[in-house]
Amino acid sequence: MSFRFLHLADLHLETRFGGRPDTRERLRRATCEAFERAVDHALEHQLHALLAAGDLFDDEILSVRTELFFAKQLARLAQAGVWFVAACGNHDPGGSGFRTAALGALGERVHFFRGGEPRALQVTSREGVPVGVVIGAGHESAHESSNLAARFPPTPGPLPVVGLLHTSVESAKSAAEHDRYAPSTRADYERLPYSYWALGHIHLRQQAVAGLPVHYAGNLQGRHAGETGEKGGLLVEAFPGASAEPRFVPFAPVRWERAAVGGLAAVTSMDALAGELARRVEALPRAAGEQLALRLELEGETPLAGELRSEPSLVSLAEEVAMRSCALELELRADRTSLPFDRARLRASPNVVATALELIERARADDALLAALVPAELAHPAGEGETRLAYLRQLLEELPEELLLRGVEPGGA
Amino acid sequence: MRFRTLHAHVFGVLRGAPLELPREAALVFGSNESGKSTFRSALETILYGFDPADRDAHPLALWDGGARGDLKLEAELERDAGGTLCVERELQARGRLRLAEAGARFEGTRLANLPLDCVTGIPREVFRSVYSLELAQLAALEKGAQTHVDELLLPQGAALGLRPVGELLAELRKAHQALWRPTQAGNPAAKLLTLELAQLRREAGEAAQEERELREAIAEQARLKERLDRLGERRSLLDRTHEEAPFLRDLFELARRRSALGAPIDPSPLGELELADPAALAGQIEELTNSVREPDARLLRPAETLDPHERSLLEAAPEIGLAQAIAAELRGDAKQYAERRANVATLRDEARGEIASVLARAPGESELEAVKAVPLETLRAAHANWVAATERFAASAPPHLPPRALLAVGVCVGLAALALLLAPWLGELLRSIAYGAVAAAALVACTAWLSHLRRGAPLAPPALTGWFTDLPPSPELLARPSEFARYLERIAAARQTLSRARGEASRADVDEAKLREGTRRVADLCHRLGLETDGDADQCAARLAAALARAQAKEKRVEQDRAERGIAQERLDARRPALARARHHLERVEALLRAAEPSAPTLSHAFARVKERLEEEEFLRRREAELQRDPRFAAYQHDARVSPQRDASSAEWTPEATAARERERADCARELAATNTRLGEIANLLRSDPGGRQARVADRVREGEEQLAALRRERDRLALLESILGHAERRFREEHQPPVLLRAGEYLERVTHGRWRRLDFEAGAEGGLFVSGSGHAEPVRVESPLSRGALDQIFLCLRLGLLDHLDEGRERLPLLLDDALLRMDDSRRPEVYALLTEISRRRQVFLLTCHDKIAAEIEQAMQLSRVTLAP
Repeated sequence: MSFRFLHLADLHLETRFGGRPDTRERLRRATCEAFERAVDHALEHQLHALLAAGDLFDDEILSVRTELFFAKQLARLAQAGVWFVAACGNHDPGGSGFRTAALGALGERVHFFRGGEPRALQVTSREGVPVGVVIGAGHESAHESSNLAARFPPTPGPLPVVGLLHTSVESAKSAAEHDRYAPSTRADYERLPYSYWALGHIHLRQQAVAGLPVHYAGNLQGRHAGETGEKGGLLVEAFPGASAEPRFVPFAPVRWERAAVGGLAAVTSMDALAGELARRVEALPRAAGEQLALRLELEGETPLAGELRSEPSLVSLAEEVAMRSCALELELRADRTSLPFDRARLRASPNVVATALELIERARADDALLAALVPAELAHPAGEGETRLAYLRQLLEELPEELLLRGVEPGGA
Repeated sequence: MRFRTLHAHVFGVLRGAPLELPREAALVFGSNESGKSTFRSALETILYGFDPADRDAHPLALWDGGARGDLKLEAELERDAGGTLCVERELQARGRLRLAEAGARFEGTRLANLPLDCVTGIPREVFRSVYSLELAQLAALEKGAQTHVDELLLPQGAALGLRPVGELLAELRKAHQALWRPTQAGNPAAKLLTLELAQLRREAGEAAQEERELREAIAEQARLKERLDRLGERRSLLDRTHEEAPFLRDLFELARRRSALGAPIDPSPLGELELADPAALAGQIEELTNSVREPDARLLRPAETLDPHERSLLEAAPEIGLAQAIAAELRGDAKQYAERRANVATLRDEARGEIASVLARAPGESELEAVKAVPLETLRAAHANWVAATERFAASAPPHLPPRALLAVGVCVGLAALALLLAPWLGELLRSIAYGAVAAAALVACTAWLSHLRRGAPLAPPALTGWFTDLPPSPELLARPSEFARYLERIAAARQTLSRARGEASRADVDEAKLREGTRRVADLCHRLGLETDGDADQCAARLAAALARAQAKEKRVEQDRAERGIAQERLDARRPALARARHHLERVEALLRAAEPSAPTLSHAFARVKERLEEEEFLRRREAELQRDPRFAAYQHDARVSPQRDASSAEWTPEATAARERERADCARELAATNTRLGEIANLLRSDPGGRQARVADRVREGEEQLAALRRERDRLALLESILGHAERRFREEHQPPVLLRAGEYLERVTHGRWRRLDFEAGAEGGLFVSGSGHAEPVRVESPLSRGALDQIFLCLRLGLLDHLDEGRERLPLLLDDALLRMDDSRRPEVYALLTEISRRRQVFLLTCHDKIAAEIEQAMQLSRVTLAP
């Protein structure tokens, strides 16, 4: 008999999201909806278990209401004889004093791997027949730095074995964007012939180790424009002694996308720009019933660069585009837009703006000059030394365009 | 660039022939409203085009009395590099430009209202502020606008569309100070946002507290639900006990009374009899005994009987009755007989009277008998004949008295009347005579009358008279028919009466015979019955009746006696069995009572006890039947709580237990209500979702923090830009200002004879334009209290320095000074004129004035001839 389960990770129930207040509210609900869909899927397909590889929720955020919702979903699973097995992550550590430990008994077929020492759990079918073994370990604290994967034992028996862990695999994509908790390497997985590794922590869905059944399910619902694409879980059917191949099942009701939009030089009015952006948004892929949350990064020269630097204009434009394209959320960034300006001519004639531009250029490479140019007091707590310089250099990057936008009359240069 | 000719076809007051202009310097003289300002505007228009380039908006287009005609200017310009350029500018609907080389005609398409190439890099504003000045503009400078001067000193490329640096710096400063200030003065956005964040964090704390309370409420909810269950169970138990307590009480009472009743009474001694009170039974027996005593006595008395005489009387009762009837009838017959005898006599008397009336004497018996023989019919026929004869006579005689009779009557009457009238006066004798006379008269009269009547009447026929033998009528009866008719009637009546008398006598005889027969029969009966036969039938009948009455009375007594004896016998027959039954009943009852209550002192006591027991048994039986109808009976009948051995003082149905249970139920209800209320509050609390609020507030905090960070970053960005721009400005000044200021200083030293020789510009808030010279150790800020003339000289020299700087390496534009030297004193103006003469060799200079004295002074000092504008 095969061991059929759903691999979820990084649910981050009720976590903080990006976007406008109403979008955040929607996303908060969306996470719960996604989890409910996953449970529905497990029940509908009569899976043996639903495995969650950490970060079910953010320890300091989980509200009573969501906790009750979570318990209700687990009760649904338990009622149908479906196992819910979770390994604690850095956001929901299992040590005493953390929220996971306070959840209490949630049912016979609910199991949390709270400690760092791997434990084996035999999963049975509804009829009580053993179908697989889940070996898991959890983060006891919010900053687990040891390699938990290295502690996992060899295959204990004839049943399919699944490893469940919240870890940062070094070779995984975008691993650098995440905190390096419970770090693991390819070697840790090569030594263990498990049927499947259900991992969590990195929010990008991927095969974490090439050639091995080690997978990140990614988070269940994208939280901001940095977590784009379809989100959901991995449906796995594991057989003894064989590597399982997961199949992605989308659950997230809201999908984040990010796109760069250029070639706007010919667009001369905000209304035309709204139409152009709406067309481009509508061209993006979208599943039925899926809501879209977008970040569009405008770039290149545009006669509207001045208006686009105005926050109210930008917000108004974003709302207009969102309305036209039926997007849940649309964030516009115009940092990389510029006026169609003859900079060479500007620099050729003697003027203060040209002199200032030259100073900015020099300051980028000359820390001493940059330090001399910095105002006496900074509003931002920029720190000292290199941090401060990095902050100032970052500021410098935006100054030429800002100077031109402010220093040149419309139609000038 | 020098203007050689200017031809204003239509341009305000300037119109007409072209003006030939000197190559180096020109003195343009004109009184007020002669067109000096229009002249300056015409030169500017040639260089820069119409401003505004709209005929409807151009002020000079209205000059022509509102006709809004086209404006048109032509000029011939000599380039510094050589060559001449002809310029035609025309303002129709829009400004137009045509250019031509010297001597050529304006041809081809008109261009737009663009500036000439030679002015590129020198915006119109710069031209107006630096090249084309009037006294008022110098005064404006005098008002201390170092910024203005500064801008004049930094003509950084208006052609590039760059904004003034000072304005830009001020804007940046204002912008970043609006965001954040080190001192936080003035409520910058960062400060407000920080305050808002503090408020949000408080809200977040409150929401977190609510969340904690909610979590506690959930725990409390679980506890309350458990408590609710317990209370519910307790309440159910109390309710159940409350409901079953009366039933348990009834069952218990039934069992207790049944237990107290003991064994049931054996009813077999009674058989089918009912239990009765033995005293009542004894009474009944006594009553029955008494009731048979009287009939017994009655039967013991001898019976009444009839003797033979009485029996014969009774047997002869019908005969006695008959005898009595006979006697009664005889009494009537006797009376009738007597009456009839009386009637016979009476009738005979009557007949005798009738006959006597016709006979005028009492008739004898024979005459009575003779009546029967009178031939009445014959007599009646004779009478009829007589009557008829009489009537015939009467019909033949007069009807009245004869006159003598009447006279006699009259005399008698008169005499009588006279006697009556005189009676009082007459004596007794006379009166008697009178009376006698009267009577005589009356007698006479009557006699006369009678005589009259009797006169000549026929007599009775002989037949009549011949017939009477035994009863002859009186003669009077035969005198007149009427009298004889009376005789006939009386005879007829007497005959009838006699006939009736005879009949009556015959009936009396019959009655008499009957009387004698009846009397005999009654007497015979008396005799046969042994009674006296004396007396008449009535007496005998009375004796018979009395004897019969006595016999009948005796017979009644005998019958009554017989009836009474029968009744007594019936009573005895009826009461004796009841008496026997009563005695038997009493014996059985006594047997049962003795068996059931052997210890009872008396039978009455025993009966009372037994009766009570039987009633109790009956009651319990009915009560049990009632209770059995309750469906709970089967379940409870063997319940230990209804056992009669139970101590009932602690039972559920006691008032104390009921009251305690009621109190407990009330307490339970209150606790249930309070628990439900609290659960409702918790349910409401659970709907409040403070977690969501906490998350929203946290989002807002995060958003606010991000905004604050962005705001600070933006401030730093703007402040850094301001700083860099400030540095750039200072550097630009260092690179571009010194030649301007040096040249201006040189000019200033020359026109002030060394009193002022150097100009410096200090940047920053305390900076500005400073002048220094031989008379002052420290630089003096260019502002009051320097004299107005000194200030005019400083600003003029600044402009001259700027001109050199701005024109360097390009076409030099002309300088126009419109009475700009007016406030300079006489000692310094010549130096200015000399300087301008020198400058005019490099750049065309136009000096415009409306003052003839000044014009003359300029003519003399600069060897110029006037170009006079006509007013």
